[in-house]
Amino acid sequence: MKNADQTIERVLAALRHAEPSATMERRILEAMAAREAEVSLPFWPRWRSMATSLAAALAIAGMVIVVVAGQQHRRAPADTRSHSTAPVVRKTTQPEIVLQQVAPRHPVRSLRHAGKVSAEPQTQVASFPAPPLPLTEQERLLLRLAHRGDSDTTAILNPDARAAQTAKATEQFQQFFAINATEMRNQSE
Amino acid sequence: MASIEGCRLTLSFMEDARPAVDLAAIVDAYSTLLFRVANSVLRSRSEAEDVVQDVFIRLLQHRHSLSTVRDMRVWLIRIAWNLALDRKRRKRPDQLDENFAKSLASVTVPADAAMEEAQRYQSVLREIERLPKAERHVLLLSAIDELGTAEIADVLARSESAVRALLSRARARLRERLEEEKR
Repeated sequence: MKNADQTIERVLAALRHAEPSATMERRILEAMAAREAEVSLPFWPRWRSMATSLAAALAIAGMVIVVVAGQQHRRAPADTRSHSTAPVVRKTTQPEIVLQQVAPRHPVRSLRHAGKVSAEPQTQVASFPAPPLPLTEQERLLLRLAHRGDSDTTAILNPDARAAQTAKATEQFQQFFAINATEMRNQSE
Repeated sequence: MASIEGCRLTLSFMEDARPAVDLAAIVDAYSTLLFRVANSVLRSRSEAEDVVQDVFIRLLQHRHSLSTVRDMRVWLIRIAWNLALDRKRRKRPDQLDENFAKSLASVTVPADAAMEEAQRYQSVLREIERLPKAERHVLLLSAIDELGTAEIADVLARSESAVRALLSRARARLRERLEEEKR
């Protein structure tokens, strides 16, 4: 009993008389001084670095915007010129126009699917017209004749005029051979 | 008053005209007491010193509300006590008392006797840890000379009579368990 009490007392006395190291106070005061210096910094120096970074970021963003806008501005007239010098047929070709309208809807597509992408929306456009069919051989001939402007050649196209012309030619032929036959008969006589 | 060169600090309350608090004086007045409070829980000098430093850092953080502190001594002891308990929760029990028990053993006796003595101290510390929490806390705080029953009651938010009863029960239970262990 007494031995247990003594042991307990010994342990409690060790806790009672524990002494910190000699440098503890100094270490604590230094830590507090460092913290105090950190906390007591005035507003502007504490935020100056952050404000500088923010201003730099804004300036860079502004420059990027200006450069991009300038490039787009230069590209726009060039595109207009290229359209004006393009052939008329290209201008009126609908699929290309539709492609230009549709392209912004799907800006990120791989080239592998480009044809599929452009074909699908074209069929969904309400005013999408059928592409003009190529001219047949006869149509091309007709066009060539019409553009030449010869009245005799153009008359061939009219069946009545063509019949009249044929009849006239036949009559002239017969008259010519009839005259020749009469003359030959007179000579032989 | 602490006269550590280059480390004189004052807590200046800039908002009003109250007198500045000499921080070095506070550290000088309370650091040893707070060390003992923390050491009673942790039984490790280095960790107890870290706790004391944390207490004074908290003091700095709350410097603007110090006027609302009724009793700075009890307030600081309570912070040290709670920080030490928090730190102790992060330690394994088997890490706790071995070195402390060895440090208690007499250096004048032979090695085998010193080892036996250290084991006795370690068993006391182990039984202290097995006590009910309230009894253990009262016993550990009562070990510190500077703390009276009233202050222990304030720190633990109990009445003085409850502290006295808990202390009595703690000692009796501890003695009983140590006797049982010896048998």
